[in-house]
Amino acid sequence: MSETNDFDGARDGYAPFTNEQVNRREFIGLVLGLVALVVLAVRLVWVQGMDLSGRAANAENARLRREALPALRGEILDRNGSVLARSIQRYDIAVDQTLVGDITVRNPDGSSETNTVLDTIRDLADILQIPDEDVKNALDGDANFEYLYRGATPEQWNSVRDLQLGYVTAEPVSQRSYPNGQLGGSVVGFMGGDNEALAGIELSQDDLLRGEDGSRVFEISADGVRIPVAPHDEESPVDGSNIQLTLDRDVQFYAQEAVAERVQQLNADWGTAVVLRVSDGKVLALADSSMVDPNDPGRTDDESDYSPRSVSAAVEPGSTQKTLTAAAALEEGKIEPLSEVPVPAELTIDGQTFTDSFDHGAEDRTFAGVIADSMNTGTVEVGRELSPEQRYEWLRNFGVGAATGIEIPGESTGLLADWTAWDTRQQYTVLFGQGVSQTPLRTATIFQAIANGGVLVEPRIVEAVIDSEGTRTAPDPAEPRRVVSEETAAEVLEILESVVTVGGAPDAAVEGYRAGGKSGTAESPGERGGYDGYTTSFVGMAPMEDPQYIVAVTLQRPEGDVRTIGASGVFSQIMGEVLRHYGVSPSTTEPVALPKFFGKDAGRNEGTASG
Amino acid sequence: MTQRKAKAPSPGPQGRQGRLQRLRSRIREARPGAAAGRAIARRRWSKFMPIVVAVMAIIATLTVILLLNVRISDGQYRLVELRAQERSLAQEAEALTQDLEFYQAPQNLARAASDEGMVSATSEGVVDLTSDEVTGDPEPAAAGEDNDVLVDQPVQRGSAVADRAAALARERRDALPETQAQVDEQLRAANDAESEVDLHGGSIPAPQQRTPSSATATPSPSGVPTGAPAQDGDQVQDDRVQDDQAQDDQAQGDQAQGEQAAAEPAAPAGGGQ
Repeated sequence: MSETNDFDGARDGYAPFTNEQVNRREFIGLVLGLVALVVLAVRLVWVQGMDLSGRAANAENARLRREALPALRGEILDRNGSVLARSIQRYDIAVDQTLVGDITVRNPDGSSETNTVLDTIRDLADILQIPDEDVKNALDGDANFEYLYRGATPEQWNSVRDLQLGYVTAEPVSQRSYPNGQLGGSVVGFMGGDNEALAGIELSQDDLLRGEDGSRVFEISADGVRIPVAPHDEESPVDGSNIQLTLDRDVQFYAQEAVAERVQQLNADWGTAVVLRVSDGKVLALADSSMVDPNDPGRTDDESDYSPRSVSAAVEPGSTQKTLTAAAALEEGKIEPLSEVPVPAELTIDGQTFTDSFDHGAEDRTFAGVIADSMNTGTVEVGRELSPEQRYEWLRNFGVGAATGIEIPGESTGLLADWTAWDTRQQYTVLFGQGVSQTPLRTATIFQAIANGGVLVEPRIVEAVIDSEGTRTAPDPAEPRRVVSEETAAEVLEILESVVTVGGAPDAAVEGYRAGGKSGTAESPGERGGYDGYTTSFVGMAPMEDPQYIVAVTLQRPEGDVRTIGASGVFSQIMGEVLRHYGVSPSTTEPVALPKFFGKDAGRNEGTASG
Repeated sequence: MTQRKAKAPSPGPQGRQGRLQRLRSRIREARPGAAAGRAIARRRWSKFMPIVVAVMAIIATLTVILLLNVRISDGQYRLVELRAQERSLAQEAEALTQDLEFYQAPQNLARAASDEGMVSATSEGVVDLTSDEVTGDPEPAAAGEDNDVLVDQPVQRGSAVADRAAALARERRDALPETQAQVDEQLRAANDAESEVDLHGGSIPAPQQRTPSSATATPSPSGVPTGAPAQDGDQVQDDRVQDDQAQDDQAQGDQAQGEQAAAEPAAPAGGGQ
């Protein structure tokens, strides 16, 4: 086939041109074509290569979607894995006020109906369960973006979406839900409106719970569907770790219920109970008579509900501190449990007079008898054998004046003035727990040390951190610290059991188990200085043959006669539930009852407890 | 076109061949099946073959690409659809979990148990398998007072169960007596009713038969105790709606009703009007 064939054919047919003519036309055509091509090429380079007006970039931007991939906040669990806090999906519903108007809704069957703004307001109010007025205010105005309702449930948002309102949009948000509400509420803590942790474990473990947000970049087509073949970039979020607490929500419930009941009975300001495991200082319950419901912290009237009072409130411990004094005196070899301590009707030292809570003449008491009936006179008599500096050192040894380091924000250290700053009276009152303040949790740890053979383990409430891959790590346990010898601890335990068996707190007995402990009644400092009302408490352990649990109950300003406002009944209630809950076998050994008297009063031993 | 071209023969080899071909085809049409015709057809095929193959390949490629595209975007739509389904299922699961956990919260569990008339055991025995010993001296728990659970119910928005429970709690609170006079009145009514109860020679009333939930929605010692005397006749002092309910219950079982009346007054101030 020759190149002239076509022309030949053309010439032969109905287009008779000369060869020269054809070549010229060919040339012109070629040039024109080339010019067009060059123009196109230049334009192409102009548009694509140079992109001076940023078209390609604009187009890409229009297609590109950058989406934050929020990390899921970890859950907070109790020791058995029950959820105390979790994140749930909610929607923040917003309106574009400039677009508000009557809406024509097309039904699937082709018909259409018009809804007026008023209809819509009523519908929205019904769905969101808020007053019509609020909806009206949210819809009225010129703002392009105004929240109509925050934290709507998926169900609510689906109903709103079904109204087909073009001006209503929603953005999914994650919200915290606390299935147990008030139960342990202030321990778990809560979050603020902007996902900011505000209290409790939520705050103290925020870094672990939070996780790391990721992001995703992808292209979408005009109809909003993602373009599958376009390049995309994704950085996965790292979900927050779950935090497992040592708290047991059943024990927490028993404790909270028992304390709340007693507080109601005595019309007290508040009450709190601490339940510790003796062997490792793990906290099983931090119960207040009233705690915040983290689902709705704003409902709480009393702001001190926001953190557990056993951690944040420092109170004068009162006679429970005699346990510490007894341990110190025994350890220092100043006394034996059955040493004879003649007690006068009232004791005057350095011009300071000390009396007891009950009237008595001069009595021949054993040291155990002094503690069992909680006598200030005898305690001071024995305690003065320790120098003020020693008293201070022993208080420090047991951790008084220092924080326990529990993973709850806002822990109070209490107040322990240096011994050089003590006044004449204070140097003696610290022996029976006045003139010094500490948290109920600290008081509980003093008893934990005694029950644990003299080894104090600071309390901890975080059992484990479980990361998003399921790896479980236990936080470093608190370093156990020997405070007194095992013998001393055993001796103190016998004295504490005598408090219940023959001493001043028979109400604290736990049916089926040997229990021991110490009651306390301190005058509580009033808001305007001076003292008004009492702080009563009972701290104890059981079963005495092998103490496993500590229960510390504190009641602030209970109303009534000082002899009837004690906390020992609540102790018995909670301790009984705890022992049964954990299936501790009932005690089979005989309870210890040390003789309280000697000499002329020896006949009063066995069962005839006074006071 | 073909015809015109055929009428205007050109001297070039192409033109000649074209004419020849047309001629041959006519011949072939005139004598189909001839060997010569087949040979020509073959040659013609071999000439067009590459073009046809190319076109077919292009069409096939385009078709495959089209199908692939359709599939991919189909998959994309399906993905979006499944995502939506996943989300709605997740939300449903979340709502159900919320309901479940609301029921599981200890204070709600305790409320439900006490609504069922359960009391907690105060003592228990232990069977020690290693020593074959039974320790402890368990006693049956005494019928308890109508214990109020003091730990409040959790506020759970978006849980239908929680909403119902909150409504019930409100109802219960509203039903509590407001004044001491009301308390005394209820106590007296309960005591009156109690004196009528046949204890069959014992000191503890027989176990109580639970009333249908419609009757217990507002705990009603005031309604129920009057039930038994109501049948006896004139002990009833006032006609309340709940009396009718109690009587309806009575119609269902005489004996059960008597037992119920016997047990209810244990909670004099527990509720009612």
